[in-house]
Amino acid sequence: MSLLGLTPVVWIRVRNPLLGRAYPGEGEAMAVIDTGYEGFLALPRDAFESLGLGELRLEERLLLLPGGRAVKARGVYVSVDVGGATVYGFAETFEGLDELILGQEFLANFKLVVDYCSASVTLIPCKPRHHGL
Amino acid sequence: MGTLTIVLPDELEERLRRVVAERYGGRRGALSKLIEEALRHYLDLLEHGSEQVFYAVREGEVVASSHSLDELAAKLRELGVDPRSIRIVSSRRVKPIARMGLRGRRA
Repeated sequence: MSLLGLTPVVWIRVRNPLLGRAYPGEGEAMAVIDTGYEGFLALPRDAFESLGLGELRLEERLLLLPGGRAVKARGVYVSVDVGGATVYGFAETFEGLDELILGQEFLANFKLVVDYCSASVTLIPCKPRHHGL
Repeated sequence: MGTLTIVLPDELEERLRRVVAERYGGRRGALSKLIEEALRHYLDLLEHGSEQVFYAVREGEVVASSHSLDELAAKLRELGVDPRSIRIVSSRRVKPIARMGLRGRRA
């Protein structure tokens, strides 16, 4: 967990327990923390498909972008492993997205400390558990 | 499927029928569908508090449930259920519209 420039990022592993797949295949992927995103996890189409999420029955909803434009997103529940903790939530994708984004529903499981003085980001689970939002 | 006869105050019945009409229109079985959803949600709250529960649903029937997706996946494997044939729903519903980004407004 660190700062990329001035952007807080964390390293995560996304899993689709239903089909036994993970993204990335090995190691962890960088995800941007976005406190303005109300959802759990948004991920690019290629990551979504490599998890086999497109093979499952998906829910659709609208995401309102900052400029007021609305985009249709499709998603399903996944597991996210981060720093020894596992949380579950709704992962979605939409056209044009090219990075992993963690939002408020993910962050609600943690105490988040962004320390620009030491250029560090710390996530502390709210309580010991293996399930989340 | 069971059939229950229940008694509701007039104002609650009117509210129920209005919401059903708004949400489902005149579709057959709409009243039962909404009451089923409402009962599941309320019973989850009573049984599990604010903890999240995941359900595997096939053709309107819950085939397995768990607090954990990993455990739910294991249950489905035990039951021989193809995950592609079911829909996963959560006791915490997905908001139909969500914001992504800043919410600034022009002054």
